[in-house]
Amino acid sequence: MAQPNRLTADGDHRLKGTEIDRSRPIGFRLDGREIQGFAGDTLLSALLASGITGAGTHGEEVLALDERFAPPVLLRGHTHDRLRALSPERTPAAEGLDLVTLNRSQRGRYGRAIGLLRGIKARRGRRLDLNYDNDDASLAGPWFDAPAEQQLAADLVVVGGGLAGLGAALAAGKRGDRVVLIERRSWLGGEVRFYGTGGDAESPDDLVARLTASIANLANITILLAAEAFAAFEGLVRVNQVVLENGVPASRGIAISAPRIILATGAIDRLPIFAGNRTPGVVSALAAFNRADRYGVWIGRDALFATATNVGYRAAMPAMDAGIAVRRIADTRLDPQSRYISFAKAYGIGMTRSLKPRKAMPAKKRGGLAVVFDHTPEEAARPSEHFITDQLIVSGGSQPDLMLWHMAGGSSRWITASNRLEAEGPLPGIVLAGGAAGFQNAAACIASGEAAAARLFGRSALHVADPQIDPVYESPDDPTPVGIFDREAEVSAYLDGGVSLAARPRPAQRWQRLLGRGGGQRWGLDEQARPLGVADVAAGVQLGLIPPDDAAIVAQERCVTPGDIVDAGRLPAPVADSAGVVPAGPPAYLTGRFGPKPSIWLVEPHDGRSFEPGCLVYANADPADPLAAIGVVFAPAPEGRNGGLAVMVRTAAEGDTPVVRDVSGQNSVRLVDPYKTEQAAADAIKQIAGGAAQMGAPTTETPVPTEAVSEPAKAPEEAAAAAAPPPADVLPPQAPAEPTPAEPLVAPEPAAPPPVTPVAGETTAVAMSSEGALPLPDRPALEKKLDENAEDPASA
Amino acid sequence: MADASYEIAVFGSTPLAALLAGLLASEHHKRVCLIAEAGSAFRVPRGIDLSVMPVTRPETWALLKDTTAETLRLLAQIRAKAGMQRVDPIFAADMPAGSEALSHMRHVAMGFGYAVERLPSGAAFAAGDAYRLRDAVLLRRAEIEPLLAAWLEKAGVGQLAARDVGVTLRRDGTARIAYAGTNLEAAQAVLADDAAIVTYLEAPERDRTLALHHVTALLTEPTHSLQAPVMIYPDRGVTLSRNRSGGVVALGSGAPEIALAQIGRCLTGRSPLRRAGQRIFRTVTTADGAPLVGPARGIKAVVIAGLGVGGAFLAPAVARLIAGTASKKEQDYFAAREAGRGNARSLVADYAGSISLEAQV
Repeated sequence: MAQPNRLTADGDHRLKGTEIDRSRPIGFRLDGREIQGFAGDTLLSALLASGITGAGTHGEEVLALDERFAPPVLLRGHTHDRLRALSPERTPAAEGLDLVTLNRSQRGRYGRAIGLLRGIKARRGRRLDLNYDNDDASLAGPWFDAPAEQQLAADLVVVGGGLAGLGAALAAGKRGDRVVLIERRSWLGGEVRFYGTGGDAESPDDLVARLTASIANLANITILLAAEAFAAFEGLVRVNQVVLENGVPASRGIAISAPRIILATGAIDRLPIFAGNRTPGVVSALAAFNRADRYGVWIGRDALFATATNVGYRAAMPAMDAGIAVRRIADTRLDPQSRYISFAKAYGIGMTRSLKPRKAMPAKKRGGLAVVFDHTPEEAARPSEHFITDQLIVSGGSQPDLMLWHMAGGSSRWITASNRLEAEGPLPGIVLAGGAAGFQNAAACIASGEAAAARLFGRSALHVADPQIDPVYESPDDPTPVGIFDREAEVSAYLDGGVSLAARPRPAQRWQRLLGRGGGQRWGLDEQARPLGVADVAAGVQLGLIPPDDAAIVAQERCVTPGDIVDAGRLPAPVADSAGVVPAGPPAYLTGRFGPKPSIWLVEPHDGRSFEPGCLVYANADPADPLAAIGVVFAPAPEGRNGGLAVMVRTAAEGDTPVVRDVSGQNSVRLVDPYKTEQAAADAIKQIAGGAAQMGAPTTETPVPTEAVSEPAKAPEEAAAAAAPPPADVLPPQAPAEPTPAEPLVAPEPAAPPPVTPVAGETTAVAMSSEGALPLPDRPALEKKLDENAEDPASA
Repeated sequence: MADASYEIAVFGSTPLAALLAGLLASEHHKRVCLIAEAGSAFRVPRGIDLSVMPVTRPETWALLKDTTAETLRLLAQIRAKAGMQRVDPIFAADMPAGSEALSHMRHVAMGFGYAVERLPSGAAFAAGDAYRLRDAVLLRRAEIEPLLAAWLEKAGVGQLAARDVGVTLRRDGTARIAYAGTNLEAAQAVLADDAAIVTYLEAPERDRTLALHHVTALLTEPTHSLQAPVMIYPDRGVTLSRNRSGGVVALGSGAPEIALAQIGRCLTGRSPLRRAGQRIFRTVTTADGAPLVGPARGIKAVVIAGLGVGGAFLAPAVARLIAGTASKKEQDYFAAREAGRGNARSLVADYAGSISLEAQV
């Protein structure tokens, strides 16, 4: 069967796929594999329906392919340009497409050979042929680096097309403001079909239809579907959208300028933490519902539910209606109450309380998953329970999606009561709404969107109430379950389902603790190879890996959009003198090394060699301690002579035969030609500078003092008699008489968008530019500035 | 005079600050508290700790050699070997002045017994000369910090989180620390890292030698190996170190867009190279490249700045200085690098690369 995970359209059930048209089958190729689907499928839904449930391997384990973890793909003709990669979740499947996964397309010859072997094995199985350990490591969309091909301007940008986003867009649009609404899926309404509208309110479909019809009547609202906002800061949102060009999907970068931004980005479904929580077949309740509801996709023919929440029961009843055998619903709570639980009971679904998953492993013989549950501490005496199932539906609560909020410089705080990070504090021009702001019920989400729009436009906004059902009737959700560590499990317990692949560390073994080695797998965020998601940080707090008080700052630093750092096309600046001038004497760091008034000599070896700067001069061959040195070579010898110019202690005299140590050892030298006159020294240094000038270094005239000085000696007896102190200009600089207060240099105005709100003297995010690369807003100007710095850093 | 809860309050979150606090307590028998931010295990690193530095002054190398041996013995005693790594760092120049300075450094270091080889010219990663130093020690901050914390606790050092305290520095160098509803007193405040100097001193209280500037710290996704586990580019203001996951920790000085471009120059050939974390913070260095240890301006809090990447390895000498038991050599060394010496500091200036010439914040 070409689509083993596609639910039948027969029967009286709702999971037939609202987005697909079963009368229009399509087929495309991915990595040479034929994939079947229907019009309306995304690449991802078609892959899942076709039985491909693995995204590749990480270590020895296979990772589930899902909405939060799907490798970017390229049209086969575009493999030379990774910036044109497409997101499988947002890309519509189309007949005849020939696609390759991004990392596969970039392999070298050796890699391709290995890949071919892996591919043969993979094609027999249910996974994509990718390895996420090494050079396939970067999972983030390469479109982050692409320049914006389209520029839009609006009065308000709304990120998220759920109820809050619709409410915000409509509220602003009705007042005549120009609004751009961004939604990453191909439909509007967010998750309302999963969460419901509550009570006697209108049905989710009616509600969404009403809102979208109102929006459609307003020409000043632009809706971008299949569009993901991946960067936001004050005044700018960067978006990647998948569009169809002559029926072929294409990736397009968009930059939207707007003085007001509403982030209605919803909440992330938390993944319970247990070994094997990303094994193919483990699916979040929300994802399982959406796949089935929108695309008629369901893995296998039976299912097990493991939940800590009331909405975790939500998908069980429709699944049973669609012919799925729901074996059991395991709830972590001791005695939960909920209308969903009542519905499940009415369906005759078996339920077990105080149970949380410990591990989920592939059930190799039978296929599917082997799942082990432990009872929670309240009922710890009861034995573990084992199940075999095709699909494990998990629900671990939610975490507001604050990725863009943090990126824009917003702050947050860990709330112990709700076990999540929540936004804190204002941000100029940016407001959260809906689930991202912590609202839950449908009416509150819409109202929060309206209030957010009102606030940004300086209008009065009513307080938004978010009434919840009494806990007597609807038990509070448990914190995200954390399974007991299973030493024998050969699979990892990931902190979340995103691209970070951060996993729970293994604790120290008993023998390590007994030996006082602490030990265990050291787990530091500094060693986590990839950017983290907000849910990773939340999991880190729950696991005790991150102190709760530090969660916010960790999220700001580590939850970043992984844009390309390297300006690969830029060559290093040409070598240039640091100050634009050749120094008139020894460098500043030689000041005081050899007394207050040292002398400068040409030191000449007997064997005709030259000395490099830094070679130390000693009185004789005995000492080797640099502190005993009496001088140091600081420049080449002039006039092409051997040896070098050395700054020496004042007592050095012509004819002395000190020793210069270079890398080859000790070298006897003689002191020749002390620089008794400024002119001689200036000429010598000019000559050296002239040699440097031929290499491109700018030079200036060496200043010559006006004081009278002794004539150069013409005979040894006259030289001794006429010796005068070396002219001041060629000596290392001495302290001038007047103190020179440091003048603060004026910092240049940063061309990039403004930095984020400092935390204890720090800023933690750098905004992206409208041109793609992070964060170089004006490459020609920046390169000019860097070159100027190289030539004359004093101008920085 | 009020009873001091502590004799010394050390402010700082680096291994130098922790070592200083621990040494003052354990070897000099002072009552010490340490006020520090959250540990490195969670944050993008702000710096590195390396037992060699691109400095030219022989007295610095002399001191560093002695104190490095002391520091390594101490770390071994507190079972911190897991937090140390033997590395062969590379220092690379771009400009003639930088090449010249590194050549000076090389000869001085060799004179003290360090193995320093000059790399073949024309290396792709540097426009000027580059040198590899052998057998240096790099401290792994994320691993060593818990070990230092345990040692501090054993030594009786009070450890307070910076976010939980309110601090008042007085002109006489004492400090009042408001913590958990009580006020603690310290007879002597020591600002032992850049963050503490930035946080607790206003601009008029900072010595004029101190230059305030931004540093951008980046953590990258796994990438190809660097030419060495640690690479320092004094002329670019960039320091690179490789972490265990195969990514790079990059530190760049200056305005963020400049720092990022400089970091990019150092990592050319690895594109695309993705970031896994980022932070931008302000720091202080000395404009003349020499360490600065001594009282702040108008406030007698001890300021420790400009020690460079080797600061942690100088901790024993700094502790003796603060405790009043420094040797003659150490006293002379630090006296020449005191705050408030104005232009006399030219006698101890060192090569500062790009740092001294950057715009101030």
